[in-house]
Amino acid sequence: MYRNKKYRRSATRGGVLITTLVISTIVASMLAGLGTLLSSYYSRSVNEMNYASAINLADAGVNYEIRKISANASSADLPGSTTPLGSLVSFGNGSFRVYCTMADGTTSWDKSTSPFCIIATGISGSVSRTVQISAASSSGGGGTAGLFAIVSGTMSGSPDVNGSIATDGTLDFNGMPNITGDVIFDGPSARYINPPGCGAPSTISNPNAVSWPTVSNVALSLFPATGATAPGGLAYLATHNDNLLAVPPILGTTISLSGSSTVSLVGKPGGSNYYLTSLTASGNSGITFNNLLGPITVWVGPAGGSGTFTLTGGTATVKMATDPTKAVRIYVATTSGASLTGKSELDAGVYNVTGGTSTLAMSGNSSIYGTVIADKFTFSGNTTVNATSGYFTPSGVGNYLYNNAWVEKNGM
Amino acid sequence: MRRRTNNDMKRAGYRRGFSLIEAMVAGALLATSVVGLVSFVYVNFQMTNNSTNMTTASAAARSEIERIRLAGFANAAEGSSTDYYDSTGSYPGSATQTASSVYAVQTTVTSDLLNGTSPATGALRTVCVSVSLVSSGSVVYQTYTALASGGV
Repeated sequence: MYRNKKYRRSATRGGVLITTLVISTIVASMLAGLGTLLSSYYSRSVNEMNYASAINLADAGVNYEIRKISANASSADLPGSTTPLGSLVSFGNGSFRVYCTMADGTTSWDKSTSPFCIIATGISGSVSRTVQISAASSSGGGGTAGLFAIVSGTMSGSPDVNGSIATDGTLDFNGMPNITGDVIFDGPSARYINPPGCGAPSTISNPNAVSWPTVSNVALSLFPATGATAPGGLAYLATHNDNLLAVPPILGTTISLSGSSTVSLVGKPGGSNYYLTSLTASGNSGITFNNLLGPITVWVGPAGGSGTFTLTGGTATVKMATDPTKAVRIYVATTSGASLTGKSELDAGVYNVTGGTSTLAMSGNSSIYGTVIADKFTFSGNTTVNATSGYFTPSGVGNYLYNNAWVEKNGM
Repeated sequence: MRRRTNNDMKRAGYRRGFSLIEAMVAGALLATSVVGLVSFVYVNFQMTNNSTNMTTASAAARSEIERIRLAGFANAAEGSSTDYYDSTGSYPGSATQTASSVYAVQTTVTSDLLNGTSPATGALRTVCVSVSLVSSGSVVYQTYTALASGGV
């Protein structure tokens, strides 16, 4: 009896502790496993974040280089002879390495061959990702065409276009236009809604859209917002213009003509700038451009304004083809659109780029010797456009552009 | 039957004492384990939450970066804007904060060269997307990229 009790006591001695230790060990093992799993999940999330950031930094590197070589190709970053290749640039909360090569992706770019490659590696935390893109010098695409529609161009009736038509958007030919040049599609969104019915001109497709600055930006680039021309741009022109130089002088910023009245805008050496908020002309009235002494620029503002702009024509004393230094340019910044009507001749480049909202309407039997660049244009009647280039320059011409080939060189 | 001696009584007393100490040690061990377990579960809960936030935040940030890319160099608005996303981070976010808003995604575009308020053609535009928690305001994720005229 006593021996049995002793045996039981011996058997239970330390039992609680051992059981506790065993349970603790099992729970600890399970928690360690769970901890490892969660830790792995956490570090995977951190890696994913760095992975996403690294590609953004690599793209930043490409754009950094495009901007750099567009300003000065001779400053291009090259692979160099030490690894890692290229120049290291700190950017945001990471960095990137970038360099330019020939199209083979390895040889240093000679700074004149096009297309070529830009290779950029984005570095975020412990993750790096490398992209390689094809870049090319900008040809200007359809930037030299006589007619350019950024968003859309519509032609009905039978207009004659002695030159080329280009667009970043759509072209819709409802009538029977006679186009002697090419139809140029710039960028991936450019296309026909309806092609010309017959005698279709040849079509050229460029990979990149042509970028045109808005009228406001053109004005700001010519009259900066700082210094003597502050507040710059159209705001400066509203109060500093040559309206009084016109014959008869323009008092204020509006012109309203009827009957057979005319206003002659006069040029001067270095160029005269006229600022209007509205221009209406009807009947046989109109304006003429006396640019014997210098070029004439007409600004129609303010940006986004709703003033009426109707032009029945406007002959220039000196044609662009004769002397490009005395060109007549009309910039329309209002979004209410502009109308070119009537039968008389217009010797000017008309620029109506406001950011995609304005429409330039041409009707009647007007004849234009110049260039028309517009967000949207509509042609009706028998308008004739005799395309003359040289009036306007798109953004980025002479610079370098992404050439529609992007590839990631390695994974994580 | 043998009579229990004093030694026997002492040994029995030691055994009974040992069981008490054993129970106390086991209790202390268990208490320590429970405290450790609770801390561990809390840390893991936070870690899981952080992981979920980071994953959703990087997806929301990616959406904003793509939105800016789509707008393009010339049209991406200069300055800051904030969109609010719910717990799923599904695009698009809302311009106004609602009860279901979990993430505030602030997108800031700055140009190093301006014409007035618009970017100059030769500008490099820096895009910063910062995702923070609406509840605490703490930043979960921040990413940067750049835009150039004619670039990717």
